[in-house]
Amino acid sequence: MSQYFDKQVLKAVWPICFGYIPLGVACGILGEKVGMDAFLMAMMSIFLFAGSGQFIALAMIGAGTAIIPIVITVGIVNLRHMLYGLILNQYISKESLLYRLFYAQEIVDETFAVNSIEFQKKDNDWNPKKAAGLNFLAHMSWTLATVSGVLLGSAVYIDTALVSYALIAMFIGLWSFHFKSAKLIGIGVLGGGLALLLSLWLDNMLNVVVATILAAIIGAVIDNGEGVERK
Amino acid sequence: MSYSDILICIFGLFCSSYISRVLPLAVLGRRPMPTFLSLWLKYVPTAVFGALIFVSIFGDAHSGFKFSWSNIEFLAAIPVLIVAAKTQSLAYSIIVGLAGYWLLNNFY
Repeated sequence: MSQYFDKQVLKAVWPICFGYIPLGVACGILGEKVGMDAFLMAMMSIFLFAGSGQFIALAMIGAGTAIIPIVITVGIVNLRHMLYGLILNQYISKESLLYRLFYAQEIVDETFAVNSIEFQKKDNDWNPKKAAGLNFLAHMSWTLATVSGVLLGSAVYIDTALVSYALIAMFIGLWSFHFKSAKLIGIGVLGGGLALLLSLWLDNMLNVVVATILAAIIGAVIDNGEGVERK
Repeated sequence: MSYSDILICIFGLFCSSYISRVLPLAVLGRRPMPTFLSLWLKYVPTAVFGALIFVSIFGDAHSGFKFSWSNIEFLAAIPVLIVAAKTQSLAYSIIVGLAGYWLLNNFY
């Protein structure tokens, strides 16, 4: 056990757990508002394990959206985890298939950010076992925080409009992580404009899905074109 | 949505999210990604958050766009955008968003 959970792991994981408390509790409160109980919330946090993904799924469940559009929209939002997997591969590709199948489920923004930094550090004995320990503790604290949110939500009154606005603020925060170039910002604005335009013909959040796919294709085409010019 | 519908939905969510998580680790291995796909993936996060933000602030054509100065969701988003761009912190973004929305809702 001490191979998975030592002082180094605890030191690396505590900021994640600390951040998950308010976010997870808010997510659980929203869940309670749309009809989730503690069991459903625990299932969602274990099997979906995605902060923004869970907020979106819950908001859509609350809005009465059908299952298929919810599943597709959240799948698109979580496509970014594929990038994380590609980067993590260099550190864990020698581990067993079972390890990698479990590791995959633990890929979220926070565990990716901390593990990749720890793996990169020189003179650091970070290894796949410690990464697994960190992932487990982060996933546990997220699950506990969301379940607590459900229990808290049923005990005290909290304004639904305010909780929904926390979601919009979180989207803006998550978007700002990509403010690294004018092109990245521009493609985001393009995605937004396209989503509004496409809502004339598509509903049930499919406008968001199609706008995302199109805007990202335009970004990739522009990059590709520039790459060809340089040659 | 009924209890069993939510359980089915959670299973669907697991499937659609696990695919992108497991593909690189279990299938791709150390093989490189096709270039265009990796370029596309680079732009997916910014595009999806842009789309989600615009739709949650301005609504959609079906229920009517909310392009006006009395749109509190839009006004409260301005300070959040500034703080987010400067700090890139989720916590500060949410605090500024909640405070701004609460103030506008009560005093504007």
